Amino acid sequence: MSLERRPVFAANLSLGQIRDSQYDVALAALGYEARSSYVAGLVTSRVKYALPFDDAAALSQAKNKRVLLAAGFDILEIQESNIVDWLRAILLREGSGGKNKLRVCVDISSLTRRRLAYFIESIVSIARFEVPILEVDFVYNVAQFTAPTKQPSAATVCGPVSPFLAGWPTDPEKPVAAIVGLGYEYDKALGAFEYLEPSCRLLLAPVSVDARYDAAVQAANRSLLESHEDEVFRYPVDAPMECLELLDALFYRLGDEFRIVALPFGPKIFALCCMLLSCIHYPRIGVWRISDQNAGVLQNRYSSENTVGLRVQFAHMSAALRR
Amino acid sequence: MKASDYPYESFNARALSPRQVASGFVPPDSFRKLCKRRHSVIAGPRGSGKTTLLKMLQVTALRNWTHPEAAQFRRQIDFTGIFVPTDRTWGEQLCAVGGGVLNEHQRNLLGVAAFTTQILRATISALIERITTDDETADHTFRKVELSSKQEVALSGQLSEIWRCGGNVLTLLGLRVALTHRLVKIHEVASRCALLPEDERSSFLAETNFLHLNFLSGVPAFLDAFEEVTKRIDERWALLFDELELAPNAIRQSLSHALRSVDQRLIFKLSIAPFSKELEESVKAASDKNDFDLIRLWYPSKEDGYPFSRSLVTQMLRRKGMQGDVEGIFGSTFTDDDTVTSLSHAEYKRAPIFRRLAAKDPTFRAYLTSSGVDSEHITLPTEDQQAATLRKTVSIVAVREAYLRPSTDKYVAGTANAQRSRKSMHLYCGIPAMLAVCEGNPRWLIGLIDALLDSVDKNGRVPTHIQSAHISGLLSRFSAFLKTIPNQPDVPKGARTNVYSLVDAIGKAFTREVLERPFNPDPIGTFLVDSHAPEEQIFALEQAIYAGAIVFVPESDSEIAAGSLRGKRFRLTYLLAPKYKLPLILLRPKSLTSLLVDSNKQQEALFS
Repeated sequence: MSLERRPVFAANLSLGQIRDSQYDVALAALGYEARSSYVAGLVTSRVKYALPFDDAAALSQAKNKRVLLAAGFDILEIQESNIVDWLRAILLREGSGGKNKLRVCVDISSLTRRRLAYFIESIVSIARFEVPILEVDFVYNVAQFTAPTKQPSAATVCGPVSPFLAGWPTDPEKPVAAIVGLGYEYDKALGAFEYLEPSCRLLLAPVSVDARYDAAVQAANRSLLESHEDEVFRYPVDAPMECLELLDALFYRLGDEFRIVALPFGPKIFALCCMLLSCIHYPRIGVWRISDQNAGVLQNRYSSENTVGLRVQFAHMSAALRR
Repeated sequence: MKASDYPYESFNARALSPRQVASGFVPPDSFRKLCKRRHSVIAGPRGSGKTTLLKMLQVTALRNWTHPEAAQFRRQIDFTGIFVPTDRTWGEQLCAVGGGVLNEHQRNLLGVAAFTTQILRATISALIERITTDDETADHTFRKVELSSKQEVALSGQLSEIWRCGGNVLTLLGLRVALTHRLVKIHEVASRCALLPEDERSSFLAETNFLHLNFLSGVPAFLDAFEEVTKRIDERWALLFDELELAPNAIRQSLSHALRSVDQRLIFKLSIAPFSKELEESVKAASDKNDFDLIRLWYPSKEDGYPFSRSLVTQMLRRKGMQGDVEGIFGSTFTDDDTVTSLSHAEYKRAPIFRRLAAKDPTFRAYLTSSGVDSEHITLPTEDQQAATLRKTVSIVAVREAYLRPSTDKYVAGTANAQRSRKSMHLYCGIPAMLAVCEGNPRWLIGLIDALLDSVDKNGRVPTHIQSAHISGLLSRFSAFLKTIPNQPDVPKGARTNVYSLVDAIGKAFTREVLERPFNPDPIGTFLVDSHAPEEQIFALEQAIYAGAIVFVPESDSEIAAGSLRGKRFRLTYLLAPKYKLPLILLRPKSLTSLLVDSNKQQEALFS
């Protein structure tokens, strides 16, 4: 699919702004995490859709379903391979009738990275879509701290998050630079480096409102952080715009010399920023994911008081170039 | 000087320039073979130096190489190397072209077109290397070609037309830029194609001319044009394809067929993982022509890798300005009895270990008694037979002594509770144990030794605890890598065999054989892949072999690492020996299926 729209504007968003907004389309996941329905339940929108997980009829899913249904969400089972087409159709339908702006809210708290990539693909690749401005509020509830398991399990999937965001080099002979977001899974970043063998490695460590999370990230990546072989940058979890700006600066620093691959472990808001960066500089940045066997072991995540958001305006390529 | 200053750098030689690769390159025997004017297939696990060897065949690398034997190699090599790299990122991107919308045939067409473009670009780069003489220190006489401006214009114009790059290309650099633009264009074509209705896509692609140019016709066309313009007839050019196992299927298949090329001017040198399907195809194809070398870059027996490893480590010492020998700096290894031919000082030193194990392991005492050795008073042996009995057990004795708990009333040989929990890494320190642990793998060896050389104490030695810590770090990185290798795609969840899980199961099974069963001087420690091993397991084993976690142990030198894994013998890499508390020796084999079944049964018995 080609890129039809590009992000042209972004800003941080507060929970108050999200609550006060009137959306045309709201999208969420019907997941098993307790936080899955937290933000979605507060959103006002003309149409609301929640996509359930394939195999997660467990933990808090029943409660989430009740909350989402009460909030007016339609719960639709869409095959993963059809998500891009389905969302494009929704956007085309809701954007018809000479609108100047279409406002969409996506709660990414419990979305898988792959589904988030599909949502973004739908948004940026929608063709013959006349609405000049497509404004998307990505919202994310930072979960309460849950201690990680010490032993990482083996990967089941390791590769581009989606074919659309696989990236494409101007020169495949340039060395690879990896921008790796650190999470609290033990040695996951280390394994990714060994697997991809990048020539340049940048570590991005989250700074959370919960110090326990930051300490867990430090502990899980101790060997990398203590080796001092790699440059370490920090980004605030509650200010995604700053994170996006940092990533953009890193792209300009590395882009001429390297092929860039982003590996967004850690908070999902970082994965969002990597995917947006990939769209801004499409198709030069690949975004990868590594899923492990523990991904199949359900672990509940509870909502916190800390909800963050990023408002992004996507404009037609021609308009984007003018700006 | 850091590891990245060495040609076999600790991460990967892929990103090094030809000059960096040539700096300090020590030619192993495999390089001599590779330099012959023959098709070659280099088979070896990740990190075994395949990329370095291929990159050393580039003109700039050879011109800048200053080793005492370099001039001799330059005289011998009568072809021009065209280096074509692949890596995981590029491999995945080639597979993903078309954004998941196009069908397999369409994706293959685009993927091969992109790869062809890369090859043509590399061909031009190789020619540019030959005409470039801007480095004063290099030997420019090697493969030198002079091209007048008029000739360059003629050649660039011809190639631009043949390769459908459009008009007005007047220089080789311009041609290379045009090919770079084509690469960008291929992605655009794929994206536009994906937007079309399904029934219009094939005709759209059919009408895009440059997608249908294959390197098997594109490179010979270059050779024709080069000969016509320069009047240099019948020169040989070698296409050096690196890490072929990471390229998409369609590309691997076309390269396997390429070995059947009838154009005598082209030589193919491929680097590939042992037992990959393409290696089998390549071997078949090249064997048909009876003009082919298979170069093995791993060492089934640890001793085979020692000469190369020693010369590499010695070179590292010298480049750091250190004059001592490797044993002097790292110490010797306790269980290294390979050179001991008589009962001497070394044997005498070992006696305490035998006594300590005899004191805590009743099964060892029983073994000694049954072998006619007085377990109460093991001293310097006096009879040849007794000496031989002890000598052949030394590695097993050492790991059991290091890892088994002292004898107590509760001690029950054959159970996990007999194991000591402490990490006895000292068995794997010193030379040659560290050389064995690194398997002659330059990446592991340089990564480890380079770090250790920063920790030489005032006596000119690297203390054992520092060696232990760094071996442990190398092992952690390797384990993290194994955990990152994904499952076989398109296999139902229940049938998947994960690489790390399989290697771990094999390792734990060997631990039980060596440590938890009654003492056996020749325990199980290798496996044979049997006919019952499921295909998913075979796939995971192939991945593990490429990763270097599992090592092929041929029964004879003529047994090659191609074809089916079934019936062949393997061991775990010695790098994993500290993790699974195993000796650094080749042990007895058992079928994989029964090894894993027995292991499961024993586990169940323990917890029942």
